[in-house]
Amino acid sequence: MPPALVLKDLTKVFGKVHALDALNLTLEIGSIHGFVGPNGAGKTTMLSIVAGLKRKTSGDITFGIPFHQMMLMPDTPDFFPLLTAREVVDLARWPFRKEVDLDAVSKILEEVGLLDSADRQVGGFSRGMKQRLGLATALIGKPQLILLDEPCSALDPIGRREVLNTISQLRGKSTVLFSTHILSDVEDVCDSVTVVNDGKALYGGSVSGIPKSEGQSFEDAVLGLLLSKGNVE
Amino acid sequence: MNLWKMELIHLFRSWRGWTLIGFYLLASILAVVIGVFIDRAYGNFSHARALELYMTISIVGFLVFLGIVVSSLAFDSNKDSSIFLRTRFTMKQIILTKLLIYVPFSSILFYSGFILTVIASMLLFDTSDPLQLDWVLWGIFLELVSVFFYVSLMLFTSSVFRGTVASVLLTLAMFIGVPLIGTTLITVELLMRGLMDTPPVEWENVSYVGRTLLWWPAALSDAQAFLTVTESEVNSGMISFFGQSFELDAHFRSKPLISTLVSSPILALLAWRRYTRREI
Repeated sequence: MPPALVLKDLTKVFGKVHALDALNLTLEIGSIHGFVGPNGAGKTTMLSIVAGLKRKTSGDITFGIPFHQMMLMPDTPDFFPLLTAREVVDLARWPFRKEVDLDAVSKILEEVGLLDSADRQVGGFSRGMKQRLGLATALIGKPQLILLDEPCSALDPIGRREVLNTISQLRGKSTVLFSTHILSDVEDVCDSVTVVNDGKALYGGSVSGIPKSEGQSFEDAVLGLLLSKGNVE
Repeated sequence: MNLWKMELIHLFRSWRGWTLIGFYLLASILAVVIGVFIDRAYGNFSHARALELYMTISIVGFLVFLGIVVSSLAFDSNKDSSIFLRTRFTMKQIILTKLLIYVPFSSILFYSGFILTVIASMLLFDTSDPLQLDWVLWGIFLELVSVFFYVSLMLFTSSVFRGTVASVLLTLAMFIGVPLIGTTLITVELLMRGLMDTPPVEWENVSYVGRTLLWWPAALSDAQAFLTVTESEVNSGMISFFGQSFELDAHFRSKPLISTLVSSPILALLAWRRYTRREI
């Protein structure tokens, strides 16, 4: 089975800044892949290019799934404030309306913990609620490739756990690429990980395969990698 | 839920749609009320003049419409909600839905107010000099053609900037600024040439700037004058509109008609190019 997504030497240059510098990545179908790096490492840029919202400077992107079967959830999802949460999710269902029926809207809202607020206008939602709603809109169409940009950044600890559980349950059903700078999230739910800094991949492989000394935690190993190769203070 | 419903919700769950309805309704009511006062004071107020008043007052509604449409077309100003749209719908779907809701909505409101004013003014004012339907229909046709230019220009100005405020300001600058600057330049030119005594109706024939401005596509809107042509005006061969007299000539705005037909597709294509190439 071909990989869901292959990035080869993906490069994006903004003026003199290399946001992505010959980045390589292979996503196996049904896997959950973490994309880890500090702020400004190029995580959002990479996701935007894959989603077609930004143009690459050079490199190749190969999809093993139909392009319309990919969905992106931005790090600070926002919606039309006058729509209710139910209407937003229903609107997100529109491109998949032949495969996904209306009942799925309530179901996904329940999954992300927003069923009680389903008929409230989203203009009054907190950032955490919008992030949950963003996840619901990304998942409603059951896309084959889901790009999540820091999906837990605005959530409280309970919300974070719920969202991570939801992501874990996607294993085998969809391919998930999620960027984060919360290292424990990656260790909890990901099969593989790419560590990036300054647009360059410092490590790409399984979570357990990251080079670490005996007794060293995953978090310390990633920090060590960033500090030694990535000029992170 | 689809894009059509979303846009209608955007219009009618907020001040936007109701304000537009309010402005056109108010324009109609004000035209009739002012007409009643003028009729009481001077008598013989004709229903055609009530329609002229309606069209003058409804300019405010048109400006509000411009602001609402341009801010809606500047959907990239909110990057995150734009991502929601762009990752689920094509650019063609997004833009066409907006235009196919807002533009007919505005035209329906304008002509509803127009018909309301016609009915009220026929009941209340002097109808001895009736409107000429063939001229009215010609005016409606030219007015609808001019919509192409407005739509293209709004698309273009919205595509130039990502921000809503800048897009709205640029659009208003184009619609209000060009005639204002043009009139100022005509005045300066006539002063320099010692022709300041020229009556305003002749400016567009005497002034070089005036002649050039006739190619400005928005000048096609002057064809609104045909919406109030009466029998006596047909007989005299002159029409009076906004206090000015023109020769009644079906081709009197042929230059902006040509420039509208040429410039509208170009502006629309440039806008399309900018929208589809914009990174967010």
